[in-house]
Amino acid sequence: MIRRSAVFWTVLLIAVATGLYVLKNRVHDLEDRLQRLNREIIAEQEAIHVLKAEWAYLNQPARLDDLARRHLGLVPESAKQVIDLADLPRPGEVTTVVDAPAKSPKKPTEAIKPPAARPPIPVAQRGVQR
Amino acid sequence: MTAEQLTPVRLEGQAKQIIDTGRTRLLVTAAVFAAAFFAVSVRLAEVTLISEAEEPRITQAAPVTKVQTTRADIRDRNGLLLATNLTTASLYANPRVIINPDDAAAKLARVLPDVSEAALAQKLKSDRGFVWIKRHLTPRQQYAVNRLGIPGVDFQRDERRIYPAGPLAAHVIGMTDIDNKGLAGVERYFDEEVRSRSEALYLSIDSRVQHIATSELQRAMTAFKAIGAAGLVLDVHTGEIIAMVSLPSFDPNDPGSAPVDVRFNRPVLGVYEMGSTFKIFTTAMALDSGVTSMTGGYDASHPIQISRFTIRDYHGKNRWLTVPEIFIYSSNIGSARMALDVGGPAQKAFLGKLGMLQAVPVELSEVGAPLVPQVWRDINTMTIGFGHGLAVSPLHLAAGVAAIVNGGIYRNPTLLRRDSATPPEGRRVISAKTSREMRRLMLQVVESGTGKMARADGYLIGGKTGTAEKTAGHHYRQKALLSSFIGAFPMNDPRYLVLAMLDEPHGNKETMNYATGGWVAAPIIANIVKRSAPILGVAPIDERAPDIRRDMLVQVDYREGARASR
Repeated sequence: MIRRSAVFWTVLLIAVATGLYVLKNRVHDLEDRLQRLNREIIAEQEAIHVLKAEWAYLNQPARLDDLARRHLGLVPESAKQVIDLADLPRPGEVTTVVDAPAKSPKKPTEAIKPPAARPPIPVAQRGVQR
Repeated sequence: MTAEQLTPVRLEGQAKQIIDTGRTRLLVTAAVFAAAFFAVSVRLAEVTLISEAEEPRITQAAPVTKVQTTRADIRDRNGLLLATNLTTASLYANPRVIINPDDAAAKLARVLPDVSEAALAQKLKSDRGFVWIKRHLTPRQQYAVNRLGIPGVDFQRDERRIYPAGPLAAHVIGMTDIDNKGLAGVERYFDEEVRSRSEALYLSIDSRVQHIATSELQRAMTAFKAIGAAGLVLDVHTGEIIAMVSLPSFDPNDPGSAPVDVRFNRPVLGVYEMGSTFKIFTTAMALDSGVTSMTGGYDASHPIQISRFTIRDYHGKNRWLTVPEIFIYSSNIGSARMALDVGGPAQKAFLGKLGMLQAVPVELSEVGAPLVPQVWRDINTMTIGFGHGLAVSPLHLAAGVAAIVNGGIYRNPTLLRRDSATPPEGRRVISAKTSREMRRLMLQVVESGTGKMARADGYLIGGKTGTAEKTAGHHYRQKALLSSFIGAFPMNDPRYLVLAMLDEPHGNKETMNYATGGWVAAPIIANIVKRSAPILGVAPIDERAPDIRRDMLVQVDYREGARASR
C-alpha cells in the first residue's frame, strides 16, 4: 500500500517537474522573442525617423521649385488662372443666351463656395438678380 | 501478539508520576509541532492556490519604448520637419587600455579623414580613462572603425540635431551646439521646452512662403548688388509670422562655415531708421487724433529750416498738399508738419502703444531694442514723423502696420502657430474708421503714388515705400540707402502683410539707376504676393468691381475747399 502510493507520488512529481521545466523554457523563449521584436520595432522606428528626415530634406521648397521648373516647365500661377466656381456654367446650363452681366463683386471668402449651396436660379433671371 | 506476551507493568508512586509528566510533555510538544506544520500548510495553500501572490495572473507584454530623443522636433505650420534629432554613434577611447597608441592613431586617422593623427596619438597617450575621438560618425565610418578592431576604442549612442530644410528659415530656427544645447533662434528661446516635451513644436512659419520670400529677396539682392536683405510676411489678424527672411543666410547643419555677421537676424535684431514707411504711423496718428482729416492739408511749399537741419522733399511738389497727397507723394515736409501738429507727447504715447519704444516680445532670444531719442524735442517729433531719429527693427514696423490695417488692433507678433478662429486679445490703437482710411491711402500709394511697382493684378496690394539714408557716426551717408516697402493685401480686407528691405542696393539700368524703395523693394512685394497668395488661400478679386472702387475711393486732388477747411 505504502509502496504503491510512493510510486504514484514519485511519478506525479517527475511529471509536474518536467511540465514546469518545459513551460518555463517556453516562456523564456517567448520573452526572448518579445525582446527581439521590441528591439526590431525600435530599429524600424529609428529607420522611419531617418526616412522622415530625408523626406523633409527632399521636400525642401527650393529643391521642389527647381525640379518643377526644370522637368515640368511649371511657372507660378497668375491671378487670371483662378476663377470662382460660381462663375463656371453648371452642367446642362445654356450659357450663350445671357448677355454677360457686369462682373459681380464678390468677397474672396466666397470664392470656394460650391455652386450647389445656392438655390438654382433660372438662367434668364440671373442678370437681374445679380 | 507481542502485546499478549508483555505483562502490563504497574508502576506505583513516584515512578508513575515521572512517566505521566514525560507523556504530557511529549503531548504538548507534538501539539506545538502539529500546529506549526498546520500553519505552514495553510500558508502554502494560500500562497499557491488562493492569493495572487507576487506574479500577476495575466501577463503583460513588455511595453515597446518609443524612440526617445533629447530634443523634440520642430515643424512648420503645415507639419514639415524643420529640425529633428537623429541617432548617431560617437567614438571614444580609454587610453589606459590602448596597447599601442601610435599604431591606433595611425589606423584611426586613415579611416577618419578629419582627425589629425598627431593630435590623436597625443590624446591616446594621456593617462585618462575617457577621451572623445570623434563625435557623430557616419554609418560608413562606424563600420570602418569596427573593422579595425582596436581594443580600448568603443562607440557611444549619440544624437545629432539635423535641419532637413537647410538654410531655409535658418535665422528663425537657430541651431544647437554639439551637445544639443540651443545656441540661437527658436532653439535657444524654447531650449527647456524642446528638451522636456515629446511632441513636436509647431512654428507659425510656412516653409513655402518662406521659400518664395527668400528667393525673391535673393534675386533682388543679386540684381541690385545689395549687401543684405530682410523680409517678413505676417498674418495681420493673428500676428503669426508666416515668413521671416534674413539674407545672406547660412546652413545651420554647418554653422561654423558661416561668418558671425551672416548669422545676424536682420528683421528682428537689426534696428534701422526705416524712413518714409513711418509716415503710415504719422498719418494714422494725425487722422485718429482728429487734428486733421482726409480733406485737410499742410503747406509743403518750402523746405523747413530747424536748428541745423533742413527738411526737404524727395518728390517735391512745392505747394500746399492735402493729407492724401502728403502720404501718396511721401512728403517729408508735410509729414513733419503733421507730426508737429499732433505734438511730441501724443506722438510718443502713440508710438508706445504700437510697441515702437521697446523690444518686440517675439519668441527669439535675440531681439533688438529700438534706439529712442533721450529727449523728445520738436526736431525729434518732426524727423520721426518721416521715419528718421527713431531706429526700430523691421518686425516693429510690420507689427505696427498690421495693427493699422487690420482694423486698429495691435497684437504681439508670434512665431508659434495660433488658432486663427480665436485670435488673441490685442489692444486697440486706432479706430476702425481710421484703419479704413489708412487702407485707402496705402492702396493709392500703389495705384498712383511712389509704390506703383508693387502692383499685382487681382490682389489689391497697398503699402508704403521707404528710403532711408544709413547713418555713419553722426551724419547720413547719401549713397548708402536702406530701401524698403511694406504692403498688405487684399486692401479691401487685408489678410497678410509683406515687408521687404534691401540694405545698400545700387540702382541698375532697369531701374534707371534709382535705388529707392519704390524702384527696388516694391517689385519684390508684387512678386512675393503673386506667388504666395494662392498658397495662402487668398483668391484674386476683380479690382474694377464697383463696390470695391467705392470702398477704396480717395479724394486725392488739391482743391480750394480743402485749403479753406484748415
